[in-house]
Amino acid sequence: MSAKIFIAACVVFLSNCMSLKDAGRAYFNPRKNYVGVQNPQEVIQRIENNKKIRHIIYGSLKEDKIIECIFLRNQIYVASLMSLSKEDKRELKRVSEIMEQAYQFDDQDFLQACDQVKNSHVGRLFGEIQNNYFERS
Amino acid sequence: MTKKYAHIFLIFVFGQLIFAGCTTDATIRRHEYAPLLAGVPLEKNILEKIKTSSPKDAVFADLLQAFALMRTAQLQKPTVQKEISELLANAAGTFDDLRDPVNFSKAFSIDEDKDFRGRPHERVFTVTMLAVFLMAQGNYDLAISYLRNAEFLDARFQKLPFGTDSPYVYALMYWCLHQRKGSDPQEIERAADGVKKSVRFLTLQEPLVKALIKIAEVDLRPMAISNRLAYMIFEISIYHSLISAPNQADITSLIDDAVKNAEIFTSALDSNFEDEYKERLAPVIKELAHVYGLNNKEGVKHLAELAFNKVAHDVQNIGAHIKQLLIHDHSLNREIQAAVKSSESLSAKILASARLDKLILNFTGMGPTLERKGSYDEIAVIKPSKTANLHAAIRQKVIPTNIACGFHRTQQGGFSAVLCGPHALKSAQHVEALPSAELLALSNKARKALGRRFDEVLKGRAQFRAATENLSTVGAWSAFFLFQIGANIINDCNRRGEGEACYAPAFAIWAVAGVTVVFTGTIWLIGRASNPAADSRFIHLMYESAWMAI
Repeated sequence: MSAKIFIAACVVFLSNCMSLKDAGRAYFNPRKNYVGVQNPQEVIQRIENNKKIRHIIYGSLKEDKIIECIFLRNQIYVASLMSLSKEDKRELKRVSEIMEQAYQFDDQDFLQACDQVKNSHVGRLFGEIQNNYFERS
Repeated sequence: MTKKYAHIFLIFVFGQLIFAGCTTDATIRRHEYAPLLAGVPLEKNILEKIKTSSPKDAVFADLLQAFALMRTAQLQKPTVQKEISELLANAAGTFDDLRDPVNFSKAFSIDEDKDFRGRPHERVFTVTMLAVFLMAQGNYDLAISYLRNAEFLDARFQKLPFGTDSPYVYALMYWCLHQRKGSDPQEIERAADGVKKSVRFLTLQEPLVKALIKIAEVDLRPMAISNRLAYMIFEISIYHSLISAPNQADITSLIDDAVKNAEIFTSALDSNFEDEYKERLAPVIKELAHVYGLNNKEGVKHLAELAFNKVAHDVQNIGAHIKQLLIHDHSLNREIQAAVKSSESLSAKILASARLDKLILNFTGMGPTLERKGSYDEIAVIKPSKTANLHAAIRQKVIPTNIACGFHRTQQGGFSAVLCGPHALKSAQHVEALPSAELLALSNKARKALGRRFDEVLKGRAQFRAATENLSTVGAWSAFFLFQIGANIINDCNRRGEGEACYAPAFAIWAVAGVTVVFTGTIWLIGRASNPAADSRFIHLMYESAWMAI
């Protein structure tokens, strides 16, 4: 009996611990609604609908770049709320600190942080997931 | 033993039934109000009977009677005018004992058992209508003091006391001051200032808020906390600047003023905008704390402080973006310039008309109504009337009006009041088509406080009652299962032929079940004792629109 309970607990524990890749996908297939991110369709619609005003306010900043950075921030944000292995958690925390602090602070800082994180391991992995998302949709 | 429990259970059920029967009927559904509900005034003795039998509803009955008379009686008769004035004055006299509520939603949600003092728009309309009747009698001194009271009453339950956004109150005040001998020029200037600011408030808020929404829609970081806070505060700041910045201020100065005021609103956020803060920002901060791994009390507090510290900077950014948008977005710029022009010309027309010896007012339409919703009728929703102007804008139309001094009945219970000063020419009965401006739109006033929609729900008590009911359900089921388990144990003991020593665990479980029943019952009864239903009393006979010939 106790062995069965132990095995069940292990299964529950292991199923809670997802891979970094799965955590990066969680933003696109959320299990629940997060109040700190807009969903991907909403982001795309928002950025594409108001090109004229965006141009007035942000000049020549390309919409691809904006969507890429917002998605990356949102992926990291949602992934940070997932259960991960200790190593993945540490890696994610490092990029999350760079990205989220800049996001909370200033537009310019956010774009710079986005460039920095994009080149990291997490950035490349999450970038691939973004590409898959665009290919699928 | 089982019998004893059965008795406890029966007493509990009867208790519930008794308490369930203790619900109060909506006042408005009581039979003595039936004529008033149909807009027919009551006989004086019946009105007195209602007031004596239920003193808490005296103001409610007085106001319904006053507006029923306005809609049906012969207003030309001085006795009718006197009767209406007295009823309105009785009600207005009680508004002084109104205690300041903790917040707007609580002020809005007075329950049925409290003394009726009306909702903010009902109080303002009551007092201004009283002023109109006093002005018709030439009692300008008293009318002016009631109009000042109207300004105060309107501002009183705003989250930040700005004054009133109704040009109607200031226009009446301006006319009165001109008719009264020896009025202080500063007072006249203040009333004129009020007209200009309130007209500006109504004509410019939509295009400015539209610009703010456009910027929010393209924002790179819409979910950043301080940024969210900044948008929320900027909206409040715009309303504040429109009603308080100097009249000469152009659009750029208004935006600068809004930016400047942001700090005041940030510091007032905790006290004056607690509900909005809790609803819109607290969940985001809580979630962000998890992202940062700072999900303890200190972490959440730290993130909230960071957001507050940065909000002034983000407000400045928003202000700069709006200015940029106004320069480069030509269609928005044209829209705002048109609104500025319309605000200036309308203010000038209103003031010019209010300087004349004859002031012509028209009261039309049925005002807003109240609907109660939710499991416990805890949601009080104000339904705008069919003819309501739901936008923050001043409508204009031509109204055929009898221009002879005095009161004249118009269509569907409406009336016009031609107020004549001491030097006014007494014209004969003669109908003229007069261009008029809607200076008071009651549905809009009832649903919004200075541009912002307010809470409609009596949250606290309804949530409490729902929680007690949920807890009772869980408790009742738990008790049921515990009884069942105990019974099974006893059955097992009997089957095995074991003695009473075997029953001990079953009795212990039944004891726990008994305690659960008592606890659950108490919680349920406490829940039933609270009445979360919103107040049903509402003056549905008020007029939707007050028009002034311009």
